[in-house]
Amino acid sequence: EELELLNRALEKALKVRKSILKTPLEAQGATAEKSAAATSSSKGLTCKQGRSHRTTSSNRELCAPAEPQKTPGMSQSALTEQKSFSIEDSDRGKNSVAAGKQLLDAGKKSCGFLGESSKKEDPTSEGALGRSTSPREVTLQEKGCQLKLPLPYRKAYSRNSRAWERCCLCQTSADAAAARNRFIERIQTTVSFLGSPPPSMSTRPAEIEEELKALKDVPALLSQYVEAEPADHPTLQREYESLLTLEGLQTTVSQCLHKLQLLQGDCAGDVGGCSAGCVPPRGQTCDSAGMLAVPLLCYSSSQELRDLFALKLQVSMLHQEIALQKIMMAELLPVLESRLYPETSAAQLYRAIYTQLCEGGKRFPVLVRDELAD
Amino acid sequence: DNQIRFVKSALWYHGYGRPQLYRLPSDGSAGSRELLLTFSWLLHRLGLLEQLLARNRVKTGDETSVCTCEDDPPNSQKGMTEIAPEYGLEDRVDVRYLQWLNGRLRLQWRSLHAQHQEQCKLLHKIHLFTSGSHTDQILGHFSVTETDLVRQPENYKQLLQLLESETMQLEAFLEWKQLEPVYWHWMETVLDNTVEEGNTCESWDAHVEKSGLPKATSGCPWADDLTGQIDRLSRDLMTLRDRLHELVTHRKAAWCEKVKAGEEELQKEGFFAAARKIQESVELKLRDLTYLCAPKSHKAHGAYRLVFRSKQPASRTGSGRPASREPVSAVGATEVIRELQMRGASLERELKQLQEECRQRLGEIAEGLNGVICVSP
Repeated sequence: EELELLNRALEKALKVRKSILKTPLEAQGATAEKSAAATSSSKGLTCKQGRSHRTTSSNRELCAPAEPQKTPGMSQSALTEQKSFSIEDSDRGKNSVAAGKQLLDAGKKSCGFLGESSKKEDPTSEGALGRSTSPREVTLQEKGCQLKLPLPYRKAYSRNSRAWERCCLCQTSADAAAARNRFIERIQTTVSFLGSPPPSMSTRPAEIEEELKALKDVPALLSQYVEAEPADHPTLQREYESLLTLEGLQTTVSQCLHKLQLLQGDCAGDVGGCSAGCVPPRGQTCDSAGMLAVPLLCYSSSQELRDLFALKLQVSMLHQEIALQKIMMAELLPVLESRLYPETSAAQLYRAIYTQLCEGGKRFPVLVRDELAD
Repeated sequence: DNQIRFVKSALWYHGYGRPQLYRLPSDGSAGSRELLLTFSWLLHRLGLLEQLLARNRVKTGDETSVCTCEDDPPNSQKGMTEIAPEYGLEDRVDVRYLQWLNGRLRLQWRSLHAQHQEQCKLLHKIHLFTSGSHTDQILGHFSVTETDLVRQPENYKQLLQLLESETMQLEAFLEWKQLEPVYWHWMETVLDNTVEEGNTCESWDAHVEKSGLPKATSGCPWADDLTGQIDRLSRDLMTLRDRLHELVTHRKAAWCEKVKAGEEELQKEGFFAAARKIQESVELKLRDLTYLCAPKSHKAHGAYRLVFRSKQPASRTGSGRPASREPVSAVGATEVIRELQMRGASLERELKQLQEECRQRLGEIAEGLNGVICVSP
């Protein structure tokens, strides 16, 4: 009845699309659905040959389940775990011939690659894919390399990316740059009526903060270097080297301290210009031309990506832990030191605070009652 | 009024020097020419246009950031002590509440970690499976948004509109670049005019002079905060310096002894010949260090687009893509991972140090407690 009609219509659509697109989809489909896996090396070769007989076989497969399939793609809900979705949806309304040609090329290119990778996919997910409920929905794994973005998006995207490229490449003309610099200089050297000197490059509050930020890492960094120098050396030469390094580190520390003093002076000098209710924003003055391109972060394996995210989270967590630690130290230690708590709960309080501050809340110390033996 | 004060303080922060601006009245009633000058100054100083374009960029890819900066809100120090005691009638907190909060925090972190990992797996799958489909060869594969776009194009009409309006903005920017010389010449004439008229206006400005400019030299919260930071940093550096001083004197003494004792030995080892080389290598080592100590922004703080590139370069370049066409800078995940590891390690050390300090202080406190001995785990 209705279902039969639907199935037949679908079958026809698939056949038509397949013959136009000429993609080695059956080969991919076969790998996932059939337990016998074709080897990836021969896949490229058998792609074209196997197409004809594969078409009919998979069509038969598609006809077989006459179960009530929802109208393909229409009533499909959210993205499932295996990212199955129907191709019909995306193909509707596309210029099939042109699309077909491009897909063929794309398919050919990535055929070998995808074959390789689908083999590498862990067997559990492959098995799951094979067991996907409706064979008409083809998974992303098989079709992914042949997908096409809708035409309007593609057009907009390419126009957009070309515009970005042009903007990145365009330079300020020499004339404009000269005029601009003259203007800026003149503004900067405007003499104040009160006679206080104008802020120079290095004493701007923004710059001061930047310098400070850079210096913040210095103690930790230098400590690492100091730790790295061993206490004992096998040869005299090594010892000499070590000594020189330590002396160099000493000079660096003094230089940094000196810089800090200068910053302190600048900071005080700038206060003269500060208005009473200032809440300065923390902006970043980056190189303006370099900002226009979105840089890429390339990862080469799933493990790398996961490590990246895990490490980012860890660094963020550590920042938070350190901030919490400092605050807790400031709040909790005075409580213990001031003895303002009731005596009965002293031990518990001490134990709890100890755990929080010294063990990160994970391990507990043991408190032993100190009873004098009688 | 608040807005005006904010603007003035922001300008001061970035180092804008023209006092005429700061003297403008707080109700915005006068000074459009000054504002014009200020705006032009900002255009250049902050790269306003470029920043705006970059920050509002339409996101079509999967993005993440790589910077390890703390994102501490400006009022973090002050906010904390105000938020904390909201409950409790006697203005006291049960330490068990603290423990519970801590446990919750850790739980949240763990589940966040799990979610991230899950997200990574899915991202990777999408990137892997759609490889070869993107018209942009450099990217090579779709992002999550783009994949969903293929599935349900009708949901993304807004994205298309945003893309197109952004393209128009970019084209406007290019036009601006063409016209830039005219603008700056014009600004110079504006400046000339103000200078000419400057003397006549002074009398009018005089009475607002006092109100606009600051009197407080000690009340500036920014300076206080910064001074606090500088002090803390100085303390750390000074401890380091003392420690180094001790080490160096000690080592130097030992060294001199050795030299005195075994001068012939040194001659034999060809020591003096090698000394020069050693000095150079140490200099090199330390030069790297000073570079690290200087302010730099070699890593952008913004978002990066995640791109999957498998390690076999020859597998996909079927259509002879010119290998050198890389207008966009790319960063490898391995590098970022390494930096993150270093940063993580140094943060861990810092945390351990703080914990050790706590242990010592608590140890001192324990001695004051009657009848209890603390055995640390």
